Amino acid sequence: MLASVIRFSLTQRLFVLIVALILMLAGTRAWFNIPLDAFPDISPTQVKIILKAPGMTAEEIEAQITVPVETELLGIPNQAILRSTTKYAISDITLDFTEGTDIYWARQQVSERLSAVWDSFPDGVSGGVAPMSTPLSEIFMFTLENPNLSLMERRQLLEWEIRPLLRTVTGVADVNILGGYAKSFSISPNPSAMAAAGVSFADLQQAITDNNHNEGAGKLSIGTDTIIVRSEGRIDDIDELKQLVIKANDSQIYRLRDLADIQIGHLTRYGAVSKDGEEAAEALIIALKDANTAQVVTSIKAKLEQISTSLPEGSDLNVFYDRANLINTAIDTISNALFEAVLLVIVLLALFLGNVRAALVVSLSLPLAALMTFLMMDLFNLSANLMSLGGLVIAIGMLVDSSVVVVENMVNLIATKQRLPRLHLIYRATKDVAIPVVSGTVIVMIVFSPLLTLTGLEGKLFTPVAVTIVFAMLSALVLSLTVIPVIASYLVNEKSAQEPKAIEKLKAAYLRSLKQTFIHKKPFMIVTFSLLVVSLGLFSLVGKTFMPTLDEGDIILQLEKSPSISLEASIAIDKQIQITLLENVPEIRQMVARTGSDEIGLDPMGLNETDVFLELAPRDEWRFTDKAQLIDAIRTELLNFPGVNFNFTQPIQMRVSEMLTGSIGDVAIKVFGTDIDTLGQLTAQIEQLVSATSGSVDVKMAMIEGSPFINLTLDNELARGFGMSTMEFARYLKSQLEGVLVTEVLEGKKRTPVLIANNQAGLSSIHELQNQLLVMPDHSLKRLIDIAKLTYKEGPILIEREQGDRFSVITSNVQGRDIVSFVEELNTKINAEIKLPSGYSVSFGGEFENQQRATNNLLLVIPLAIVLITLILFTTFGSLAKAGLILANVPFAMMGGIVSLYFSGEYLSVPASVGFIALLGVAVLNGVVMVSYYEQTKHVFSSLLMRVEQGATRRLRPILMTATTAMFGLMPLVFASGPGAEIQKPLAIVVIGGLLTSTITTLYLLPILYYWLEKRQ
Amino acid sequence: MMAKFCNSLLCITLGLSMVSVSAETISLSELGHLDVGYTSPKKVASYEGSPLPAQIARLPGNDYWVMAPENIQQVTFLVGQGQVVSKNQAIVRLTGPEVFHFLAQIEAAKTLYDLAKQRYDRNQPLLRNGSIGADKWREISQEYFSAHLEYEHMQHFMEMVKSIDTDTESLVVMAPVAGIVNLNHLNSPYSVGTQLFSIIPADSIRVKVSVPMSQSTSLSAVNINQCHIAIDEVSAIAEGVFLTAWSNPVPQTCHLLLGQQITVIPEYQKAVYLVPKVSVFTWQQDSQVFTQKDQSLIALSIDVLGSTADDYIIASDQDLSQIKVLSQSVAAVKGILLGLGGE
Repeated sequence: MLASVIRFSLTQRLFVLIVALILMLAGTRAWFNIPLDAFPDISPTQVKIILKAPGMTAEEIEAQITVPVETELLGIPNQAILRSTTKYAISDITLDFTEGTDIYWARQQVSERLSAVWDSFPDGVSGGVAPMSTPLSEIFMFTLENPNLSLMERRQLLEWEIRPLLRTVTGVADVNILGGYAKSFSISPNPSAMAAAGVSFADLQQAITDNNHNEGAGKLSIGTDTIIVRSEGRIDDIDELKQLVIKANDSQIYRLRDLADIQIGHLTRYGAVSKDGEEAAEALIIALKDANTAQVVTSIKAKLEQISTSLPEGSDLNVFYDRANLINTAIDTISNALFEAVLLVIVLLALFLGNVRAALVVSLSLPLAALMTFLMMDLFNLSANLMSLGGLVIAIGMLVDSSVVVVENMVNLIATKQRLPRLHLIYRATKDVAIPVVSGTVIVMIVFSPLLTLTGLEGKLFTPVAVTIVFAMLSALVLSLTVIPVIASYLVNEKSAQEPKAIEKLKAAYLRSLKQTFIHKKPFMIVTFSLLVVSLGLFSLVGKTFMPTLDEGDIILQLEKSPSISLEASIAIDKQIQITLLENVPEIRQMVARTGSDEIGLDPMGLNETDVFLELAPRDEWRFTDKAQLIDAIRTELLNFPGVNFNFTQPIQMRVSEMLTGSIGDVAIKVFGTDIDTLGQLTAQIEQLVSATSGSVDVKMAMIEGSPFINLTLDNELARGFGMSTMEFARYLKSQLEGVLVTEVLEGKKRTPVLIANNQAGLSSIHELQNQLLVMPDHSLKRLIDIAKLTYKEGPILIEREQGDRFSVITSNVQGRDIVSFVEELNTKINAEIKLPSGYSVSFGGEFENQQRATNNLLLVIPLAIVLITLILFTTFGSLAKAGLILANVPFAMMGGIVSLYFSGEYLSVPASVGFIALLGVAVLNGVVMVSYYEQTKHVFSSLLMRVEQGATRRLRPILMTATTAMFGLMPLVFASGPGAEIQKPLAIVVIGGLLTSTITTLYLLPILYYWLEKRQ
Repeated sequence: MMAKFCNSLLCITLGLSMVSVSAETISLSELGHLDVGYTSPKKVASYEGSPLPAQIARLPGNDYWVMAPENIQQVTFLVGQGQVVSKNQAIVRLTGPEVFHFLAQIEAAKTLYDLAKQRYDRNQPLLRNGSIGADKWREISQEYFSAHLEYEHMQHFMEMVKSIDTDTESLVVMAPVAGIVNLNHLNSPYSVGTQLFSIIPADSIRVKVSVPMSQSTSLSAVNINQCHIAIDEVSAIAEGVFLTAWSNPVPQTCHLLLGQQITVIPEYQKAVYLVPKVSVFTWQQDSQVFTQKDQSLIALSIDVLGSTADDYIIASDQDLSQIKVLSQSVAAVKGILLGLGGE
């Protein structure tokens, strides 16, 4: 069949060229169509429910909201994991679905279940299914600057003018407005006036709610016409609100203004934004899952430009995070690497082939294969990002292999100056190597197939790599057997088939050294195998990590203060730190800090938590050579702020951490159970065991108990005498502290919430709280302390649940030993020393879990891949021994990988493992090139030694070409420093190191082993 | 973020366990580059407490009551309810035939009184010379004093009568004293002895406030809007956990109306200190401030009694006016106590 394809191509050259041209154009078009992003979408099909219950404690929310929702959700099919975090005033429930579940179906399922349980929630619960976003969705952030506008006005502008317009942009899931003050109309009841008027708190609330309505009444038929009838009573502004009649009898009318103080106020703030030491208001744009990020950002910028013309004078939209920067830098990094790789490969081809025409023919396979890859990426909805394009860079060296083998053989055949038509020679040359080329490519594709079985984060990251490589290799294979021979038929001539002198000299030198090696076989073997053993020793010394941290180019500084801190005090500390950093670290251009929770609740932080976005100056203005040094400088400044914990992260990294189980560390020990106190005790005991286990570092324990609160218990006997119920008492308390939302006033497109709240400075001491006056339902006035008992209590700070069970977690990193033995030892200790009460269990997770999962996947699939490769090799050579001979090259390739990893200081990680997998393919491919030639020339040479030596010499050029093109193709990744480089670097280092050793062993060890094998046979 | 949260909680737990065994003292050198500022607590002689329910009420027993002398057919009040009236100001017109019956009764009473007086005067010499017996004299005296009282009683009412109009058979009753008039509006007839109106003297209109027993002794005044009124007396009889306190007379400039239900801000006479709100933190269910001593900050427990917009009103056994209280970066210093800090 292969011969037919080649024959068809060479007989229908014009047709093939036209098809190639069409494919090129389609590939170019595909490149512009492919969604562009920095990273692949690493999130599973995930639906998040965020429910806000202002004023409620974690325990209450868990009982009344989280558990009912979880119970309802547990029945949904295709779910992978259900987990929740319940904190003060918020419940955050996340449901991950199995791979491949349609997100829209999943969201619909969750929405249906949520609506089924909604009616059972307590009053005042708001929220629902969160926007359809991923950890990569926060793509654009800006603050609205205008010195003439107050924070409230700026927020209003963002919320009611800018947000609705931005939401019209295709691909925008939501726009989160943070900071400033959310305007409200605040009604502060006058207890004395209410008591005198005989109006209770409930009466007041009811009267306001009931009297802010426009209702359609129906239609009235008048003669031949029908006229719509409606009742009107909606409140339009604060003045109308003040005039609202609350109670009226024959002689007296009580209006709201008579019973309460009405002011323009603001909703209780759960968070704030500060910029360069001053409070600000910001907008955060969240992109839809699967949106074309680069395109969405472009549309957002266009819309903002349009919006900015209509903003009040002096307004400035200050962008401090723009994903396009990361995308551009990432794509630039990878494009540069790609360009450099292509250039290096072309130079190498020119050097090895000694002829520009032949080099050009081979080089043409690169852009053509790349364009065909883009076409397939577009067809299979694969986005262009660091990983997928990285896959292309990894493949660059291998892409030319097929064409190199074909063209090299072509050149050799033409050089023999046989009296046959050139086209026929080309056909023969191509046909001769077709099977090794196909089997070689299939081997490479099989080698990368284990990556497709990776799941979790590593799967999301490396599947695009594997898929792109497979696409590229497939494209290169097709081209090498169709288009390349056609182009070669036009370009390659006898002149270009002459071998360069340098190669001839190299071959001579190689032959001499090979002969010497055959003479000193034993010492050579001893040295080679000794090096293999040494490299195995080095393997244990190589540092191990799960995944290198991707450098996004940005820095987020996370601050954490005393847990009970007020928002104002928290902001004050943030401001101090911002001012200090701006003064002392000139690399920071501006800082925008987000303290506390956002409005949507996607990031339910406490008031003590702050994420500071650092916008950095261009790198050429830095005093430092890299980001690590800059972070060190910032760290030095921050260490001068005791009492504040800090941490460095990056925008996407932060969201990814939150998306995953939240257990960051090599090992996470989760204790499942029901009682918070017991969980707390067990966690503490296990934490001690972990600390005492050798190899444990950074042991951290999640505290789930110990949140202090003031408990007010209504004296029922006394309160009932006045008609006060627990619910009314709770509502009253809420009005004094949080504010009770009673209705909304529509002013044009603005909706202003109306709250019953304390308009004064607010209660700020226990004494004031105790003496707070309240109107009893019987209209008498009482102090709070007269009807309720105040006690201090401790309760859970947060409640974490997984699959419907509460749990607490201990995390630890492991140093100086392997994680598996650490976990085994710890498990034995826990079983021996801790008696778990009935209903309690312990499970192990964390990065260990990911590593185990990845290892298990690879351990299952790699042997399978090796079996398949063996099968292909057996089919190609018809001998299991020869297949084994080729596979024997693999350990020596691994040896180079390990040595280079050790000396480069890189860690053994998932990308490095991917490098080893790639090495497997390249090492086998080199062996195939060598052994296939030996087999082809079985009857050409009379002596075995001559066959081995001459064969090796003849195969020197293609082997060196494939090895060096692969090595130099990856070289730009070793020296790349942009975002994404750190994930590709270990991979490139492993492959380059491995290629170096595997090429040497292919050129020296393989001939010896082949000789030995043939001699025995 | 979650992991970070958990980590800090671990630090906090460790911090709490460490500090619970020793006094909370932090060396100034530990504060690094934190902005620190100090404030001396301001000593004040009195402070304002939490709002209390109150009413504008009249001090019991000070009202001047005016009754109907006869069954009245028509009662026309000449002033408005609650109006401030001066002495001798016309208050009510009583109209009807019964008014003239009353006047006739006064005339009759006067005649009877004159006759009884003549008889009493004439018989006094006879009693001295023994011409009449003791029984007869007791009868004459009783008759005289009875007529005298009857006449005086009617005369007192007549002293309040400003004018009599025989044509309309009416008389006008005026205010016997200055004060606030409290008219007794009735839908039924005013029979003899029914209250027509009362005059509440201006100095008996007070703020009646229920004050918690625990604070009653130091209550010195109440503030209502811009009005400051001193406390006159505090009842010694409790009503539940409250005591009733009466203020001094309410000045008219306060524009407070009798019966008005109000909320007052009590002012307590007690030496307290004002410290900035930003200085106070909670530590193990206790309100505390950091005080500076030499090169250290020492946590000091305080009793928060109330607050103003910017300050807390605190009580302390120690003289705080001489010490310095940390008023900047307090939350960060608390963070040090909790063991926070670093990466």
